[in-house]
Amino acid sequence: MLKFIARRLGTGAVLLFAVCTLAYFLLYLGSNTIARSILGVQATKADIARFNHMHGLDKSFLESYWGWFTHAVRFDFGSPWTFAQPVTEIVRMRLGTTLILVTSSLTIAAIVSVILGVTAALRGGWIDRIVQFLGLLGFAIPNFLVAFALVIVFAVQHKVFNAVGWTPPGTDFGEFVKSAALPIGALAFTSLASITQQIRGAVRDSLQNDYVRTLRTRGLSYNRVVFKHVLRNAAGPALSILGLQFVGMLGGIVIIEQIFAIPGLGSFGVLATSQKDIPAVMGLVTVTAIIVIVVNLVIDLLSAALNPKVRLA
Amino acid sequence: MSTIETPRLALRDRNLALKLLTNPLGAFSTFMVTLFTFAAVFANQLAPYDPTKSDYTLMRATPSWQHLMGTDDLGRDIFSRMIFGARFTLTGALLAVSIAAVIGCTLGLLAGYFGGFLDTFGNWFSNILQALPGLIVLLAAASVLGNGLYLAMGIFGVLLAPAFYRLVYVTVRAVRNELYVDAARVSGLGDFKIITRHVLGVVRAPIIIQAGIIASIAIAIQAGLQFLGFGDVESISWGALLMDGYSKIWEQPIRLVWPAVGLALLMVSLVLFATILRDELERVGARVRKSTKKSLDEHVKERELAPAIVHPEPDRHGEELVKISKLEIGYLQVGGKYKVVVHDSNLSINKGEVVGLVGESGSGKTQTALALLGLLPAGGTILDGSITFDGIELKTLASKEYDKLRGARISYIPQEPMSNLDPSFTIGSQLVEPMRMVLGLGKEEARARAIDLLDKVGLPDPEKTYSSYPHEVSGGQAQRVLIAGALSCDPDLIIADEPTTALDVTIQAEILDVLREMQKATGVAILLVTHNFGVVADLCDRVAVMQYGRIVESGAIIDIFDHPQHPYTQELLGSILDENGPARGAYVAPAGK
Amino acid sequence: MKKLLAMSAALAIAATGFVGVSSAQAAGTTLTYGVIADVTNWEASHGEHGNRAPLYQAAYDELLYQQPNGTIVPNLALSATYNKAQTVLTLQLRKGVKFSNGEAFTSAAVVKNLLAYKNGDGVGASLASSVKSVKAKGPLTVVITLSDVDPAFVQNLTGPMGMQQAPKTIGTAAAKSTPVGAGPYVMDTANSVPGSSYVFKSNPTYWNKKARHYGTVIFKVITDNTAAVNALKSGQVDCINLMDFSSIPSLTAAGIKIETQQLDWSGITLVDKAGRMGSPLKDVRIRQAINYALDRNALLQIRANGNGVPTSQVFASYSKGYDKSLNNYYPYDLAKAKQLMKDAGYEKGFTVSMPMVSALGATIWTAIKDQLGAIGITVDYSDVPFNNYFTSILTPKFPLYWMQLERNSNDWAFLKFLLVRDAIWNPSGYGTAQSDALINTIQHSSGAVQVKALKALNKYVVQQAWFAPFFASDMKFAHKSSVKVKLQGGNAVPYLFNISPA
Repeated sequence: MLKFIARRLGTGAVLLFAVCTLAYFLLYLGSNTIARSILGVQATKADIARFNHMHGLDKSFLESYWGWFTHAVRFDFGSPWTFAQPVTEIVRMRLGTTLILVTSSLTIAAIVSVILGVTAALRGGWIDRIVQFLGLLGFAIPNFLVAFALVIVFAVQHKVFNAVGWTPPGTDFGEFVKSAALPIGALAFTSLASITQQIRGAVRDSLQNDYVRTLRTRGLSYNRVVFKHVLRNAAGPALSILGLQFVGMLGGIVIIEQIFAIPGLGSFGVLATSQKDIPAVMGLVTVTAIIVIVVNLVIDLLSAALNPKVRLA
Repeated sequence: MSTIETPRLALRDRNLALKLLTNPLGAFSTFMVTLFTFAAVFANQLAPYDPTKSDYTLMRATPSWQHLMGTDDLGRDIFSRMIFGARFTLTGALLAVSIAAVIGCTLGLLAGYFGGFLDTFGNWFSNILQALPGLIVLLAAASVLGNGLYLAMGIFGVLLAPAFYRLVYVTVRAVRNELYVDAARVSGLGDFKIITRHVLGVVRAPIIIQAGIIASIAIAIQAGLQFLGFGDVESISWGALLMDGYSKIWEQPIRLVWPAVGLALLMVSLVLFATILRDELERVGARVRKSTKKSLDEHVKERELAPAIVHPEPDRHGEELVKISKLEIGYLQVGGKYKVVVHDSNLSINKGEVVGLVGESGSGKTQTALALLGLLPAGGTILDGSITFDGIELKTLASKEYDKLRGARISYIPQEPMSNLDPSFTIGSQLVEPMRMVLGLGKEEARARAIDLLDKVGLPDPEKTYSSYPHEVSGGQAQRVLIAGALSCDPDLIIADEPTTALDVTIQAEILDVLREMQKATGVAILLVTHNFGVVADLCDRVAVMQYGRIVESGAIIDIFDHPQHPYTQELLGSILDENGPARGAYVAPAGK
Repeated sequence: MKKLLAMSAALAIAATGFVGVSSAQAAGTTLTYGVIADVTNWEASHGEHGNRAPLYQAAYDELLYQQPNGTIVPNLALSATYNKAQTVLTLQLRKGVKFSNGEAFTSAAVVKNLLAYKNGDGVGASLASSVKSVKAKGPLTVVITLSDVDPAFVQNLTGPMGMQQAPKTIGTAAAKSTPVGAGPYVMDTANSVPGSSYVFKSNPTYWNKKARHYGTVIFKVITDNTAAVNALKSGQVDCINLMDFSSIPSLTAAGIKIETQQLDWSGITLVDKAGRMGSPLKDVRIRQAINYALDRNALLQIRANGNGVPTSQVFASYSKGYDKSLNNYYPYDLAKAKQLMKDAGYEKGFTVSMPMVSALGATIWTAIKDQLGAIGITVDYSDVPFNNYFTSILTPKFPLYWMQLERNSNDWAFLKFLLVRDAIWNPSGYGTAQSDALINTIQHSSGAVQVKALKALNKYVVQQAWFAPFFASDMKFAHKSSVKVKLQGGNAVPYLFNISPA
């Protein structure tokens, strides 16, 4: 087991390196316009030259990348060009914010969709059809519209929750709830659709297995076979689904953060990328790649725990 | 997946289109997708106005007969823009999906089939793409290469390739290890032919659904990019219209409605279309309507004219345990009709008897067995006749009562050992669980009994097997476990469904020995379903022969062997190789080769 | 000289022009100021005017202060006096001011701040390019020597260039995220969420308590306009700059008040006036034809929903060079435009290339193409990525471009920005003997002479059709009726002190 983890972390490190190099390369390609867009319309040619020199943009790609890399391995990601805090601090703060949003939404969505998906798969019939329809609805309605509808009803018309802004749970829990309720609602609703569908599929697949019938022949009731055996075997695929959804949510949260003016990793990504703030973007790329690698590892470990057939080779 | 086939008409036999259209959701989604595609292709003819033509006198007009959806900030007709938008949106999605599919599927196919270097490369390629933040790649590319919609969708397609890659890779890997691929190889079929003929067919269904889902995602991403200000605003896509509407939401909310509804319908339809296609292709998901008396009367029957041959059995003794009379089993088809798989069949089993039920594949023997258990697959019903077990009528038995019968009084040994054990639980726990539920045994008691059973069925190391997982034992061992399981609650009747078919010949003999010994020791009745007369001769007291879903002859074993009367029985017996017959001669090559 | 007179007269009065409330009254009140751009570096050397101005104003006080009507009054500096050649400026500093970290405000602080501003990489660093040297002469006197006459310099001291940061914190990593100054408020880092909201509490040692209207100021960063509208409607912000005006009817219906001024001008810059790119724009008649061909009212509708003032001049209404009569110098007259084209020998029209970028506004491109097309000029658009737009314009790569540009509240700065030969936004470096002469006069004069020259330059530029302006664009600041707002001429949002309880 430890060998497995070590191996995965090893390949993960190589992967991380490949991703960072590729990202840096892409950013570097378009770096001749960065100074102008950051300094704005007022900047003179001298200003631009000074900016480029100060930030190593007049060096070659390898020189420039080596500079970043040698610092990055010591966890020094430098100062961004368009943010006031150091990269590691911004990433830490915003990652925390985004993770809170994503994990809360995913938990809520997971609970509801497991209930709905399992019911739909087991009962079939009209319940199944309604669940599928609702699922499609959540899938088809863009999350910003859901967010907007929530804001209209719960923030503008009835001032229950906040329309914008973010308060960390540590600072003031009441305010946190007010600022997090609507974004979490929007996120959860849209991912509910996808997860429900897939869990329904996973449960149905599990139901098709031969041993389901064989266990019935032993006198076990339908309910018992389902709850002990079918669901247990569907748990592995369900977990993979949730893992994928987690990574996917990290992308979908970008729009939500924009709408609610939440200082998370998503809005950080948009700002940093649109301004091509290389230190900031590289910090983001690194952190995102690490998250993906870690989540995949965790999912694999959990799947192995659930499924004896999976050998951690 | 189930190893027992439910009789559904093969895909080739029925028009796929017909299947899609008769399902209401399928009809809806097909219609929508067609409508949008039509609009996209014939936009030039359908749109009432040039979508780029501005009319400054009529800016931000509300919907009217001249402008069905009103006009935008520049006085351009929104309806026309929606129609042209369909084109851009659909082609963009198509582009993304095509590129993703081509790259992902090709790589997955090659990597899964050939393995080795391609496998490693594919894996790395896929991992890197997945770990890369898509947004950054898109934006970086945009800054270097411009903001075009098609470029963005193309790049996005590359980023999405892993979704197809993994899917195809896993499927191909699984198929590659199937026996029929090896068989094809041995028979000299080239790799390319194998891939296209055998592997692609399996992979087809998952790819289709994935394509539908990916297309939907691509469309959503395009709208999202537009929202963040990174989209190509010159092109008229629904994403662009959506964002225009959203930014004007306080002024003219209706402008948001058109593209939102359009996008919603399109995405829903794509996913529905793909899902239903998958369901139909995989023959999963029969939505069975509860049968009513009316439909029973309408079912189609296949009748054979000659009555079944029942040999007299004067030496038969024992109390009657099972009586099957005029049994008719059918499966509900789309359209309300039933496909009848068993009809007009009679059989009886006495306590302690070993009865063989013989017939070819598809003759209905397994169906009969399952009917006895009350576990017909979805869609199956007993249409007519009766089954009694120890006087209890099984056809109408309530499910709770039936649960009580199963395990305790009737049990089952399935055909395929590995797929009939739950891979997530140890063998021991699967044995113990029913014993505790049905017999009410305590934990230690049940464990002791299980190990004892495992020993009795001839497993060399019962304790080790007890704590093993199903995938850690061989096929033969697993079958013994299943026999042990069937015996565990002391049933009156065991239904053994081709218990040795899936095993090696030497193991077959051993398993039959186990069965024989257990039967002698416990006096349990056995219904042995098989296509192998040799097995029948080995174990059975009586035998019934099934052909085309009907028991055509039944009697004591020696009687049937010596004096078969039904032509089919004679045919079956005749095709057994005769030990005492002449040896086959040397092989003579046909002339000219 | 005019400005300096105003200052010396006000020497004795410590808090000229500040009508505030007593500290006691202000104490419990909070202003939630919505801002559409986050601060990227809190150091004073990176201070900005425009949308970010109030954020810096909360933490830092400036040497001089500019009132909404343009008058400059003393602040941390009691006086600013030029020598005869206008190349040496002497500042007398206010006594007894302390920074919030306890440091004393002295001439040494001013020197350190000005040098940090000039030598840093903040966006406005070049504003201090005329500074040759800055020296402390005694604890409360600073002498600044300029390399050339800089009419914008004194006004610049009322902006970020004049902001005073605690000297010990200058250049430190912490100062980038936490400002330490002598301003009215101090950042409450514990309750601030960077990127989302910055909480500022009253600075107990602030010298000008009377000017402060609120006990606490919270800045909320909201970059999406719909979110901003939602914030206003749900009452979460007291005021915010509006980026999109389509929501205004709905806002006013909900009781929100809107303040308007024309800050930017939107229009076409005709780059190739010297003909070096080989386009027909060399001929003034062609340039005038373009001006006559523009339906400015329609463009105003298209681009800004009617929120603005059609105009033929580029000077702002708050500029001294503004001439109201020039607004309609080029009425919409297709016949006249076509005639001019014919006179110039281009009756059949010509093709010209122009850069286009989707992010700066979708529908404007079509309109331009249509309107120029009406007189035979075919616009061949080159799609340029947003980040490359400025570079491609300023290289220059195209004979004309459309842009929306702000107009500095300081005329000299405006000239240096747009009209002088080496102005950034004069990419072809164009000038004539007349324009050179007028600009020279403006630089070296003041008072009525300067005003006359400015007006003359304006008229010259309009008659010579250096540009084809569309309209002066509205800037709209929305606020609750519970706050009173005074706009700052030439700044996107009101200065912090100009918002008070209604």
